[in-house]
Amino acid sequence: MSKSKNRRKKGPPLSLEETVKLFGAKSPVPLGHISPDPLTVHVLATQVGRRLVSQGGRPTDKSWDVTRKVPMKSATWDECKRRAEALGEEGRRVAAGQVAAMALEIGLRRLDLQPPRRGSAALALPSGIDYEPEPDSKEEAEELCAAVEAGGVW
Amino acid sequence: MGDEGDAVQFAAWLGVEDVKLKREFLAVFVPSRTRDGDSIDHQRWRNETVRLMSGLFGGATSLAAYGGWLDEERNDEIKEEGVSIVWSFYEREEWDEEAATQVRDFVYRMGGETKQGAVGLVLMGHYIEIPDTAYEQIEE
Repeated sequence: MSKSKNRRKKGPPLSLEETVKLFGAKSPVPLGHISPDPLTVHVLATQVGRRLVSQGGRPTDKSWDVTRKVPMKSATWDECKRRAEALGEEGRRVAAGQVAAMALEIGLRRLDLQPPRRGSAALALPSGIDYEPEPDSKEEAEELCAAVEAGGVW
Repeated sequence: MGDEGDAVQFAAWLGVEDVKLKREFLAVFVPSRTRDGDSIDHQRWRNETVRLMSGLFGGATSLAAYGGWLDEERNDEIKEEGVSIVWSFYEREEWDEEAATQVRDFVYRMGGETKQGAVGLVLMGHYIEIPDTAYEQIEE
């Protein structure tokens, strides 16, 4: 093993709070005293494993196989977040990006509807929309669609 | 003599001349599956994590682990997967904005490209979870 030398010029150290803000992370969870030895680090997997990587449970459509940066007004993104939070209060864990993706897909399909709907009904999910998620996530996606429709979130 | 004195003395006994105690450690959890259960190129992400942390802190170690988590939103189903924990010791002053930004950018990329619901790391004695809302707008 060769001697390691880290010659990077360093700035002022970041605090935990500054790090959390930089990372956009949730509130940090104190783990108590952690002995920095290999065995303890290994045990960390059990201690926090259930929270660490694959936080599933969101009604994710497997057909969403690409991620793209879509420019939008900050107000639009705020609205996606607001609607996601509204669904979250109903017990459905939905990310703002998922709301945006569904809104985009539904919006595109609405372009095919003739004539344009007017009034309050236009804010609900049109009955002519045939949303076709992958079979594995179909039930959850339909549940989300039903929630969206019931809540009139768009 | 305190722990620090003991450590310095022990290091001197081992022949270490320039003793720099690395009291802190960073651990990054590297997944092996997407949140939908599909396999990912785990080895690639583990190796990238090791390389990043080695460059920042002078070294990194990977440990294979196996864990499970309770999916309360899917009928309390227990989901299991192999993970790697990549960890590095560092001196307090090594965790500056540049290092933190490099780690952040990496875990954002890992979380986005491997379709994670969240990514996690341990830092300063705390578990820090970064939700996908933080990195879901990654451009390919």
